[in-house]
Parts: sequence; C-alpha cells; structure tokens
Amino acid sequence: MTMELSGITDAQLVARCREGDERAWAELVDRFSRYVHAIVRAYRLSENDAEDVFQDAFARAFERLADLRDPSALRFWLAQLTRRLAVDRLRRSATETPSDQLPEPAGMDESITRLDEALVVHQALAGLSEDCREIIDRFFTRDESYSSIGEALGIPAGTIASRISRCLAKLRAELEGRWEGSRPSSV
Amino acid sequence: MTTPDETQIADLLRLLPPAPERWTAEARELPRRRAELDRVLPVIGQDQDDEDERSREEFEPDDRLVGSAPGGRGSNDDVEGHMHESEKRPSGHEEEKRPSGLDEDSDGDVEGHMHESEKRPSGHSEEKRPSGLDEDFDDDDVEGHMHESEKRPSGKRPSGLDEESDEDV
Repeated sequence: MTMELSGITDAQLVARCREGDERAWAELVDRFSRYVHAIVRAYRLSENDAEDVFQDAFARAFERLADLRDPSALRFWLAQLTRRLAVDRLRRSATETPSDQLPEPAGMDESITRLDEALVVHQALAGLSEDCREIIDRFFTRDESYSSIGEALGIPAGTIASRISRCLAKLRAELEGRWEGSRPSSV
Repeated sequence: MTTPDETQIADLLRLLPPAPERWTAEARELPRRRAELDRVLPVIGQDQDDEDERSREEFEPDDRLVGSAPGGRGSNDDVEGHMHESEKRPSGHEEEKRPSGLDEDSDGDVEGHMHESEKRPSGHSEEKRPSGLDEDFDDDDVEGHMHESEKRPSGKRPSGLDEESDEDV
C-alpha cells in the first residue's frame, strides 16, 4: 500500500485518479482488491470467470471513474459494478447450462453487508503499527500458523498468540468511531 | 450498530483474504496498459491504412494488361501490343497486323518473357529432358530451351504455341 496515499479518503483518492495519478489508481486497487475479490468469490464462479469479473470490475471502474457522481460512494459503486458483472457472467453460464434458479445467489445482500463491515475492519488496520498489521493479516486473512508468522517476522512463536490478542484489542479501539460510517452496498 | 468484539473482528477479517497477487498486479497496471494502447492503436490504424492503400495499388487494373484483353482499352502500350500479337498468332493474323515483327519501342524483356511463357509448355523441353520437368529443373534449363525454341524457324510453328503443336513439330 502506498504510504502517503493510504491515509486519504476515498473521495480524495477518486479525485487523484481522475487527474491521471497512476499511484492513486494503484492505491485504489490495493484498497479494494480484497473486497472486489470477496464479492466475486461469493458468486462461486469458476476460477477463470472469477478472474475475468475481477479484472472487468476494475477496468470498468477505471473507464467510468469520471462518471461517479459521489466519489465518497466509491465502495458502494464498486460493489454494484462487481455484482452486476458477476450476475452477467452467471446469466451467460446459465444460458449455456439452463437452470430455473436465479443467477444471484440467495442472501447476497446480507453477504455484501458483511463484506462492507469486513472492509471497514480491514481499513482500520491501517491505523495500527506495522507489526500489528502484519501479525493480524497473516493470522486471520492468510491463515498462517504461529510458527510461520514467527519465522517471517523474526519473533518467538510462543508470543504470537498474546500479540494477536493485544493487536485485536487495538484494532477494536481503532474501529470505535469508524463503525457507524459503514454502509451496505446492496444493488 | 455497536462496534464488534474481538471475536467478531476476527471473523470479519477472515472474510477478506487477499486477492491473487497476479490479479491485483494486473489491475494496478491498467492505466499504463491503457496509455500503451492509446499510443499503439493510432499506429496500428495507420499501418492498416497503409496496407489497404498498398492492396488497392496492387489490384489497380493495369492499363497495359486490361487493354490487351479482348474489348480492352486498346492503348498503344508495348505489352498490350504484344499481347494482342500473341493472342492473334494462332489465328494467323499476326503478320497482317505486324508484318515487321516487334515494334522498335517494344519492351524486349516483357515481350521475351511472354514468348517464353507461352512457349514453356512446348514439347521441345521433352526433347531435351525426356524425363519431363524434374523438381530441380532450373532457370538455365528453361532459358536454354527457350532460346532454342526461339531460334526455330517461325514457319515450323504455324499454328501457334500450344503444346500439341510443339509435339507435332
């Protein structure tokens, strides 16, 4: 993540991207790649289709960023874009293998709401120290073991559990105040 | 909405594993790739225009050749004159129209080539090369043969340059 850009708001990021700032675009991708990826995964597409939808979502976002009326709604807009692309892909697959089921999986709105919350948590990580970010990300999102984290970060494996606990408490404190800003991205 | 506790935070964190690095790297490269495309596409378009132009030129009807066709434009081009001559030769009108043979301003290369082409199927090659046209049959062979053919008295080829007539000779 680009350090000086990681602290700016989504609206500021959009403005920088619109000015043609390639680093801002890279930051936008870094900021939302997990989120877009998680939405795509929720549709249980094949690996190839999932990658296509992921790339299409960012490609469309890049092309249409100028059309985004409310830059602060970037996350909501990206979610909509990705969902529509995923549904289109599912419809195309359904045409090839006809089915009575609707292409949109059941409970998708709730899933997206959870992903919105997850993204808020993930973004709150930016407020923690580098060590805490690394430990939490490796343990919770990359599923790495204590020994693997200990080796990578050069800290005793026996201390990892307590560090994780402390970092989670810090993260929770970081989330206070941010949490209310969370908004669902339903289509 | 109350702030989630540590367990809930842990659960939420697990929902967002990293996207495959390759996917993310590709998405990051979008502006560069678009810029590259914007730079390259006009060049490709220009190349295509040039190619189209070349194709048009290649297929532009050649007045000399079109004129030589029956009902053609009838220009006084060398080749056209020759082509008329060749076509008319089998019917015996050649000497009536061009009693002096080749025009002074005729293009010897083209004319010679046209004679060669027409004479190539003649049976004389078989006299020299009884085995027919081998794969290694080279230009010298053809040329030698064609010179020989051209040296033959024209009276011996009254009926034109087709293969049967050569065989007859």
